[in-house]
Amino acid sequence: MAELPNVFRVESVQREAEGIATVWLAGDIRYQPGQFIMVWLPRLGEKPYAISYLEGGRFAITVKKRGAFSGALTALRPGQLVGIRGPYGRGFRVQEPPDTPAQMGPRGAIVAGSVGLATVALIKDRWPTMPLLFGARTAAEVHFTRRFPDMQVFTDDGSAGTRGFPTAALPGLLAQGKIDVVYTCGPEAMMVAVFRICEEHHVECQASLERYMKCGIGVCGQCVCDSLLVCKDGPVFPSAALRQMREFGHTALLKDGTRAPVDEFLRGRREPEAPRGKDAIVDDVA
Amino acid sequence: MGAESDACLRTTICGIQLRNPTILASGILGTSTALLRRVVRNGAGAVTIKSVSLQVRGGHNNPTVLAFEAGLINAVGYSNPGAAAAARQFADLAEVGAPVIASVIGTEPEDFVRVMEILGGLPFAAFELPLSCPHTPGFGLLAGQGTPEATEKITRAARRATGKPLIIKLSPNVPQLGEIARAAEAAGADAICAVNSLGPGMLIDIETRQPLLDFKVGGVTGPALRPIALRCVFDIYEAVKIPIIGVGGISSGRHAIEMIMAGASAVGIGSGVYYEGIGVFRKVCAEMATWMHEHGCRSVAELVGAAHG
Repeated sequence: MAELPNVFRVESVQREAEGIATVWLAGDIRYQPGQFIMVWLPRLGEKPYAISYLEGGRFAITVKKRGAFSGALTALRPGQLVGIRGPYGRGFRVQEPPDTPAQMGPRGAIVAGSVGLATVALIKDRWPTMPLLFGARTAAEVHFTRRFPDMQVFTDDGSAGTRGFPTAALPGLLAQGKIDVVYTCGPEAMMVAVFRICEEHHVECQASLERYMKCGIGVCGQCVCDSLLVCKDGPVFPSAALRQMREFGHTALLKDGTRAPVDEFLRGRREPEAPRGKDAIVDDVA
Repeated sequence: MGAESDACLRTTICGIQLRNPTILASGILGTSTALLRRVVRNGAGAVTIKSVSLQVRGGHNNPTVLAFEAGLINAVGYSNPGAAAAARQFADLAEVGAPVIASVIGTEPEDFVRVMEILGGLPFAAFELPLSCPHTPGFGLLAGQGTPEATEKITRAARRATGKPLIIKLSPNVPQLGEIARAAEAAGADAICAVNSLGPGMLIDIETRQPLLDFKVGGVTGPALRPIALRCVFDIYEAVKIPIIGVGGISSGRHAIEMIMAGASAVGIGSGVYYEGIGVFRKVCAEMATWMHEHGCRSVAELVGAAHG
């Protein structure tokens, strides 16, 4: 049961928006939407990411530059090497109703915020007609508009799409009675709002949670949320679990194990990490 | 009632009565009361919290825990919120539903004592002092705590600080293990926990030509450690009279019985959570109980040290 990183070669890095880039890796990986992979850059660290594109012979992660590690990911060059563990965890339960023609898919909707769009993108790829509400802070952060032309865009400042949060449009969408399940990934406050709206409309919600991840394999307890492990029981949790989670939207363990308000955890993620060593990115020696 | 409550599995370790001999080892899932409660609901007889130091510690950087073909290697580096925050975060300890052991770390004897004082108001069943971590500067082996002299000094200071049972956790690395165990016993320890992780060890990724752990080296646990842990427990059993918690690579009832026959009165389970999930505790208990019933064995005590002539 060895689960050591497999090394993949960077094929290309594509700028998506301000501070957001897609890193394409050459190779194949078995992956269910909503699972995560542990991405390793030697001497810089290892962090969890969702796969944002999955094609035959290549796949990608889409990264928002927050600190030294994510910055190094967005600055990768073709031919450089990245280690990948996983995929790990339980992704979205995307089941097609038995009496529905397969191509119609589940009666779902997607709500994404910021780079959380990367986590739900494969669902939209699979069912292109599924409604997608996407929120970003400003127009500069908006991405995947050509990939998903029918995506409804919201920005905090109104610089693109509709001014406000994507959750504003959700009650109206659910009120039509055509949606059975909402898949969501983004800032936790947004997901809490999505979950509450779903509860009011008696619609199932599946939310992809983020916590500080170390082992990724269910032993260290760092990613605990109530009694659940985000790495093993999640990262996607259905409404039944979200209802029980007192920490959802409230608290998270920091890297040092301190239980802190979830906003503090999310803010801390953005602070630059102390750079360590030099030549941290490894060029392919082959 | 599950196998974890089968009467034949009851055991006592330094006065602490356990419904069964399985104990969650420190450093595994011990980050919150809610998670400890889940471990108990999955069969553990007792649980150990993640080690607590006086000051908050960020620990080492990722990758910190990796699974290789013969076990786990870790360099978590004792990340913990510090004693004061830990005391707040474990304030609802009574909800865990089984004895909870506090793992306490420090550099100097007074560090251990201060952490024990800060955690002293909580209903911990015992204090465990791992004087044996192989990969964290300032602690365990890297602070010179793996000698009879240092073990005696720290144990004596801790003994004066608490009336609760005191467990000293030893490293498998040191040659004079019996001597260290005797030093702990002489200084007032109530039990020995054996063993901590082995090593440190290292893994290298051949494509990037880099060590896989960010700290480069880490402690080895799991199947690779099991035969060594068994030998250590066997040796310690001959050296001291105080009871032993045997830890190292246990993920089945047979492993647990082996460890008890080597001399353990209870068994710690850590990496077994990786191999079998949180259900490992109930699984080990069920397999133990089945074997004991088949062999007409009515209590764990009958098996303790059975491998010694």
